[in-house]
Amino acid sequence: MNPWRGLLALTMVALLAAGCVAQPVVDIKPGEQPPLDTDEAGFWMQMNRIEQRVRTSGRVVRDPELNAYLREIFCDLSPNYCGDIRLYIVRSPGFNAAMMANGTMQLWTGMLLRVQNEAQLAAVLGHELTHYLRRHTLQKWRDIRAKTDALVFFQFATTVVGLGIVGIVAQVATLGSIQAFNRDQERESDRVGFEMMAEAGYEPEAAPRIWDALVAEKEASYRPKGSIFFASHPTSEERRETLAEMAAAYQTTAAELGRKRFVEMTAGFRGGWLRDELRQRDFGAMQVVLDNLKQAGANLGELYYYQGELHRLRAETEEGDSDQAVTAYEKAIGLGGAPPEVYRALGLIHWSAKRESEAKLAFEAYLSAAAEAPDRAMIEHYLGQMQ
Amino acid sequence: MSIRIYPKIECRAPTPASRAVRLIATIGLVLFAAACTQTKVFVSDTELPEISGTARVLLMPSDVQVSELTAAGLLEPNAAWTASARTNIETALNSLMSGRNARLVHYRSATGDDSIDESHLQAFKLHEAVGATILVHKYVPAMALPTKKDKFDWSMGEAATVLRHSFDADYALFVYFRDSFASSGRAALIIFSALLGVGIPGGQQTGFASLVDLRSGDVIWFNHLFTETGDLRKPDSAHSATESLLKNLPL
Amino acid sequence: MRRIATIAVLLITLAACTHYSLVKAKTQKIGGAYTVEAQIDWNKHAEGKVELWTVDGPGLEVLRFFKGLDDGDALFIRPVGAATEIKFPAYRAGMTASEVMEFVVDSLGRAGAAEVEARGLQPARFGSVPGFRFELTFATAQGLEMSGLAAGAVIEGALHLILYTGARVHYFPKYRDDVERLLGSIEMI
Repeated sequence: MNPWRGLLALTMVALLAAGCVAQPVVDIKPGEQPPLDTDEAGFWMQMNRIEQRVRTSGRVVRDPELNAYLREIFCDLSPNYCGDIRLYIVRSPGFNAAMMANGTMQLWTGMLLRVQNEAQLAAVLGHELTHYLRRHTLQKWRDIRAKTDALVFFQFATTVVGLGIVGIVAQVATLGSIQAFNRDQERESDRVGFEMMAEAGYEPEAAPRIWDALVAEKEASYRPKGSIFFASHPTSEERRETLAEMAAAYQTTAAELGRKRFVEMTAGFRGGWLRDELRQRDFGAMQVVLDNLKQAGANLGELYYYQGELHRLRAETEEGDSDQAVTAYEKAIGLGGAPPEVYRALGLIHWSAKRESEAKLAFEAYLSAAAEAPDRAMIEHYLGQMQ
Repeated sequence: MSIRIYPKIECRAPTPASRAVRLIATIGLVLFAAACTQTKVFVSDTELPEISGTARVLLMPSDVQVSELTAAGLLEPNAAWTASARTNIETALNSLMSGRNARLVHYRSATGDDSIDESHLQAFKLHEAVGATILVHKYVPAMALPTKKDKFDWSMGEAATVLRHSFDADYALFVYFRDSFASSGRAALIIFSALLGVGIPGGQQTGFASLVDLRSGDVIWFNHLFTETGDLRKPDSAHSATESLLKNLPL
Repeated sequence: MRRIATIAVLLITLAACTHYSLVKAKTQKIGGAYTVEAQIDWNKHAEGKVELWTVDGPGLEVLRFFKGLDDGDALFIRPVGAATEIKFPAYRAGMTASEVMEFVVDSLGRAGAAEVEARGLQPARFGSVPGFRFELTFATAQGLEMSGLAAGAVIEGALHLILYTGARVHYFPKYRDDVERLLGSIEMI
């Protein structure tokens, strides 16, 4: 081997080793902001810019009452960090929430649709706050930077000594290591978030129940399950197990769930959020969400309307039954509380199946119930075409 | 309707390096590469109406970020460097404008920070979309729009009115800069790759700017800048970068 | 001779490399189904069953022609990197106008649009065949407010749709009249 190359390889290895030294990180204090000359300040600066985009995007729910309610739950959970965190409700299906290094917390409406009470909401808020508290983004960045630096030097070193193929293995190993670090952060957030929620007086058992629902949803979804090796989060099953163990071990008589108020505050939005889920066309997953909501029992009429919508959309492209949709719509009408669109949906199915008299009744009911029907002219046109 | 295009490449001569050792020459080529700043300006052909007295130019919050380029090619944003760069650019803008008989009016939101007021948001976002459109369809040959072949006629239309009235300004200037500097690891890698005969990029500076006539809403001037040298953290370097960015500004 | 051939090959390669071609302000054939009077010059990009016309750039305003969507066809091109198994809202042969409106709204939502609202669904001639039209409002993921206008018909089970969208301020209104005249000029082949 060429002596120059040997020296080069040794230098690479030295740089590789240097990249792996971890800097200790302490929790962020209330009101603390990083000094200008730190890498952390760089992230805050970038996150501040991104926050502006989040705030002005078309996806943020601005309803003052809903925002004030979530803020109240958060500030009760963590009075110390109340002033440091800004909550944004992002209109999007799916269970998700995100924390940015500068105090921007994003809560997806798909999450608000799935959690059933204030206790579960508090567990999610606590989890996200922990990412902020423990400076996870910063640590994650430093981890990524160190590992990718090491990787690129390793790749050069192995190229230099003529071992090119090793690079691919190293890439996989690096990504796996980065994701493993990410998963450890998620575990820490689950754990500390749980402690916050339990200490605030909520029923500890509420936390693992979030994951019961999500495990069932994942099972029922058509989406391919990702590889565990590359997963950025622990499996839903693991999270449920861990939280269940913590809940069982936590000695308390607290049983605060905060269900009633949660249902009241989110009732007006639920229909729109269910509509968003339908758009995903993941019928198996959505059925689980609907079943959980039905079991909880609030405004069943509305839920049976969306059940009907699920059957109707499913019938379009897959094995499905328009008759099941009709049954669900009729049940919704019987229960009351469904939106006026239920009559239109019924009318369209009858109309397509040439059941004119049923269609006529349904369309007329729709037009009289829906003052602001966006398709009035078309429905009147269908009525006009009937004898 | 024709447009004036000003492509410009200004290069400084490469620093002479020792030719004795082939190895050093290789490094020399990589590290002491000819320092070139490329700019390409588009100017709309519409006659600019007369403005009596000093033109008032609304400077929208400048979008500046300075980062460190890691060995692996990731960009780590640096707040201190960015703060210096922003100060230097604003100083440069002020001096370049006063030299042109124009007065800079700084955008200030009601909250006093870098955010945009609700009433100005759609105008701001529309300009973003127009800027992105110009970058794609005028600077990327494969994406050229045939109807715009000899035209440069993008506009914000009525959206500009709200900015004009809020700040009593004749023009709006939007400035965007990104600069990056190689970390020591990256610098080491650049040398190592040079030894293997491979050139990999160090830090880069890119910017674009647009000038909008707030009376018509038309984008009357647009420039894109790219260079691999320069340092926005240093006042004189930032001044020359800003000067390059404002080439052929019709003011 | 070789030189000319080389230049010709280079020119053809260059032409092939350009994304947009010119549509002159005259009669234009859309698929094999109908013709329209273009009204003004446009820049066109066609891919599969979709033809996209724009003057200032698709980020600002765009006129889309969907040329005979069949059972199972989605409205927008699958995003790069999306796994092939991921489901998108799809057209079902023989959908009613109400269902087509829902299909367009859902598709826009999946493509990243926010606050998508459709209104004014009404019957309308599509050339000489009975069809429908409706209007839209939405915002891009970045928050730019947009307006839209859709006109279409289901012909022998397939969906022929014309969708004009643009920034609510300045760009959508800029060509709206031209688009209305274009819609009025549809002639079935």
